Amino acid sequence: MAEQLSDDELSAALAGEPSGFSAVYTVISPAVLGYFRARGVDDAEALTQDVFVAVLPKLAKVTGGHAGLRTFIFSIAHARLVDYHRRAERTPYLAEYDPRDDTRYAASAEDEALGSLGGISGTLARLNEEQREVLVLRIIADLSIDQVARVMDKSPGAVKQLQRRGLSALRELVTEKDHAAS
Amino acid sequence: MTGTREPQREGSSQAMLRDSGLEASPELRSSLDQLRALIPELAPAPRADLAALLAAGASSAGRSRGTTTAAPPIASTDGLRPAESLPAGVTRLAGDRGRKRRLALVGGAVAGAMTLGAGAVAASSEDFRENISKIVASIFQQSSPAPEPTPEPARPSPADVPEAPAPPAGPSPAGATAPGTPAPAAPPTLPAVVPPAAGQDHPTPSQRAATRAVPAVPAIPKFPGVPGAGNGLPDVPDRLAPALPGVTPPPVLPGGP
Repeated sequence: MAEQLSDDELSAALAGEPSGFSAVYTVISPAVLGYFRARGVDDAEALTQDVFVAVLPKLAKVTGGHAGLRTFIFSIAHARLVDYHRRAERTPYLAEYDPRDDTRYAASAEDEALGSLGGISGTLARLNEEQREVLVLRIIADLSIDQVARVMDKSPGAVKQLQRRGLSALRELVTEKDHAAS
Repeated sequence: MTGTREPQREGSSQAMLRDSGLEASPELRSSLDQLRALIPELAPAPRADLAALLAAGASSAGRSRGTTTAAPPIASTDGLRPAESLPAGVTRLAGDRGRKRRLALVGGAVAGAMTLGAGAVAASSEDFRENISKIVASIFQQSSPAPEPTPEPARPSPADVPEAPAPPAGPSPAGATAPGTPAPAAPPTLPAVVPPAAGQDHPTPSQRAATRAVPAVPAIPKFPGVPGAGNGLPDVPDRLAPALPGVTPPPVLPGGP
């Protein structure tokens, strides 16, 4: 796993060299993909590639070093996610029938047990929209409070509040699930 | 700026928990680890336009800002190479999945639109429904011409039927013609037919006449067995003639008008 973008790769990317672009894509696209997956986008890979098609030509304007690059990319990703949710609200959901996705059936005992062990996406889905966004940006995108505040266009204090409430709600949900499982 | 990521991330999540005052919560930490596990190990394989962008770099992207995806002819051959040369951190995750889903979506949308259109036409125009019913009717008529000849043999049978009822109608004309014809022809039929038939349907005057006639002609009931034979008829008028002329003319005159 590519750990981190080096300074040379960053400067190459900002200069518009193909090696720099590839390095940026290889290092940051997994986090963008995980961000979209955690937010329940059905075709997360396509949206990830949309983000990089939009981002890479504009890298020359990015300032702020590594943190600035990451903030810029996740700002675009956040905007794409907002667009996706708006579009999804307007358009009907068409998909092939998959019995596993049919919520009218009760889950099997095995699924219940597995769900109680894992299923962080289902737990996250029960959080407030903004709390969920803050937690995902903080943990998956690995952004700081200030970066999240810039991405979401909020003050750092508000982001801190959202993070605290989100974590408290998440803990309640997790402990409740543990009690239900035991 | 380079460094290992995991300790940094551990530090960030711990700092998160510390900031929120939830440091001593193992369940919460494990769920944050699960959330972080959603990040895939490798980058997804870039599609054609992104691969072209990665290969061309700023040579196409930096100078022609808005038209980054508009240089496929030259870059397409190179475009495949970066996708294959990227394997350092790239796997092919969903090649055809998105395409199949898109095809299914388009097919479903087209089929739905066609059924909606046909339904709207059928619901809006009555001519359409009438035409369809006519077409269906004509198809069934053409396909089954056999039933038509069969009714023809059925026609002769009704033609025969009217002939049969005609003879039974004889008694009533016989009663009507009774005044015109000589008395001997009508009287023999009257005693046999009139009491049962006219007693039920015809007006009371004829009935009274019949009842009056009964005491006058007690011998009549004996004759009805005979009228089947034509030879017995000349004998009957001789006996009935005296009794009937006195009885039958009165009932016929009131019954005629």
